Amino acid sequence: MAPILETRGLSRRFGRIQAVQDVNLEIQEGDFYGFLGLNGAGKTTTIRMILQLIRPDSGEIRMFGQNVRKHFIEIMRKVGALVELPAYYPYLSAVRNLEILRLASGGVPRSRIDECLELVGLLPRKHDRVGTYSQGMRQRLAIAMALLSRPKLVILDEPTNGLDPHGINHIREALQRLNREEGVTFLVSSHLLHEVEITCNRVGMIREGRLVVQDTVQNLLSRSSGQVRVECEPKASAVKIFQGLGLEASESTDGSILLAAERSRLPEIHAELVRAGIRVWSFAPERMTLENFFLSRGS
Amino acid sequence: MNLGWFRESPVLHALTTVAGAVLVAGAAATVLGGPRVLRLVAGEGIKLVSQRFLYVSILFLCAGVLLSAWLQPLLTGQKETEWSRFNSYQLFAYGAKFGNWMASYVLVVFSGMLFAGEFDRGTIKNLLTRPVTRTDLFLAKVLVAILFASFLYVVVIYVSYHYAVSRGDLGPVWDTQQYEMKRTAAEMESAMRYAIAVSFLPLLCASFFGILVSNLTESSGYAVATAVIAFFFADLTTGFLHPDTRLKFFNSYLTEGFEVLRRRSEGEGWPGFPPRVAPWFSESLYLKIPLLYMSAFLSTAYGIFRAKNIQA
Repeated sequence: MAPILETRGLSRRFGRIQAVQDVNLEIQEGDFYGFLGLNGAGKTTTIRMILQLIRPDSGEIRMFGQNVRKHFIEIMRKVGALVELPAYYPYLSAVRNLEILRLASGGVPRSRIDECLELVGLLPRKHDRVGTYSQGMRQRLAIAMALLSRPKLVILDEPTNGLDPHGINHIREALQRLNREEGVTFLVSSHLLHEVEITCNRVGMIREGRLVVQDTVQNLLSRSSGQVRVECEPKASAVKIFQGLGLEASESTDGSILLAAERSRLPEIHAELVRAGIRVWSFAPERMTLENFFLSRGS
Repeated sequence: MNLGWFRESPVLHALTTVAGAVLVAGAAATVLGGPRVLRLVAGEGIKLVSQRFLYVSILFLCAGVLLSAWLQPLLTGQKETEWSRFNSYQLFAYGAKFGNWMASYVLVVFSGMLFAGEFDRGTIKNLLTRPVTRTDLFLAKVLVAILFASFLYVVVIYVSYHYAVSRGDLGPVWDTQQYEMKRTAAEMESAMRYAIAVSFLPLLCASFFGILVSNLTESSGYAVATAVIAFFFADLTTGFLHPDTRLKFFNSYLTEGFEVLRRRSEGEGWPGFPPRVAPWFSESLYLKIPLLYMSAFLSTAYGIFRAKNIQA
């Protein structure tokens, strides 16, 4: 089946800076795709190019199996987006803001406005001027704007920016429900790696404009972290042994020792510790997290 | 109603050309993205009626028109007596001339915010990630500018006319010294219609000038300031130019029609106007010059808007 969103050789240069280079994204229908990268890595530029806000220097973007440039109107009927900071008319209420976008979208019933506001938890304040909203409420409104036309593909750039933990949880659950129950596909760029880990099924990681990783979260997390956490006494003797074996060891803030070692050498290391009479309380390979992976590959 | 003056005059050509252009543009817009454009216009309407700017500008405009029509006869030493009331055409000319000049500034400010405001707030990306093209959005904004300009023009004409007929008489112009008729009522009525017909296009031109400046920058404050200063400067400089040179600038035509009406209401002006009319009238310059500027402003603004990368 053709991907719901696909980019081929997407590149964009701003003056001397190559913002995005040869990015090949592939997002399947029903995916909850996390788009990761440091600030300035090229996430937002890629999203803007996908949405035709910025023209790419080269490359092709296809959504729903069609070229976006040629079938823009048709495609955008099925796409909702939030790009970077939420944008709104501060002198209008949330309802009025959504009404303008409802008109622009065409074919969206008026009742959908209340549905979206309820989804993001803004219904009680729907007639208040948006200028009086908190940052978190504005972010919720921006998400409501993206979901207004019942899109099949939703592109959200930093959707949880400015939300408190309760808000993050609320929005996460609402989006997951849409993904699960209505089969809405999401492309979400985020800095909150834990959020991405528990929400997304696939991730793409961009570094200096290049897509360095694109895989399922499951595959990434099944990779070894290459680290072992050791709790033992006396630590000084243990560290000497590790150094004798040519291994890098560092003391963690919780008092344990973090050891960089290949999985195949773990029995040998453990045997050495026992032989030296060191009492070992715990000797466990570190679980790979998206954060570990990101820090090791993304930076 | 005798429409002979209308059929014979260049105004007919002006109106038919403009109407033709509007119809062609409207038809093209309807074919290419009509319903989308109209929906966007409705959205623009929501924004417009929710802004204080609209009501404040109408208030100032009405106040300006009334003040000008009330004050100018007093400043020129004219007095009303039991036997002679003010000439309504003169009062109308005073009010409409000042009102149209004020409306041009209101429109420059309004249009200056039209595009730059969307970039400023970042709302442009909300609109352009909907199933609409940039051309749709541009057309919608231009249509809103035209509708707003028309509305302001109607306000100016309506307020000036009603004040004029309530304070004066719509009769002929008399020479109070020799008790002879200098201009007939029909002649004056005809001149008033001419003035009304020729002063609208320059107003649209002022609005499109604002649209052009609005596309040159992404800050609404900067756009409005630049547009107003540039427009004011153009207004000021053309005032010092030779009358023939001045006719090459669209802003000269904003008040020229009402100025001719005023002169005629005071017994001055070109003899026999109409049918022998001012040169700018007989050569249809009042039509050609604003149309030239309008097309230049709009095509440049459209080119910039189409090519822009949206970083807002």
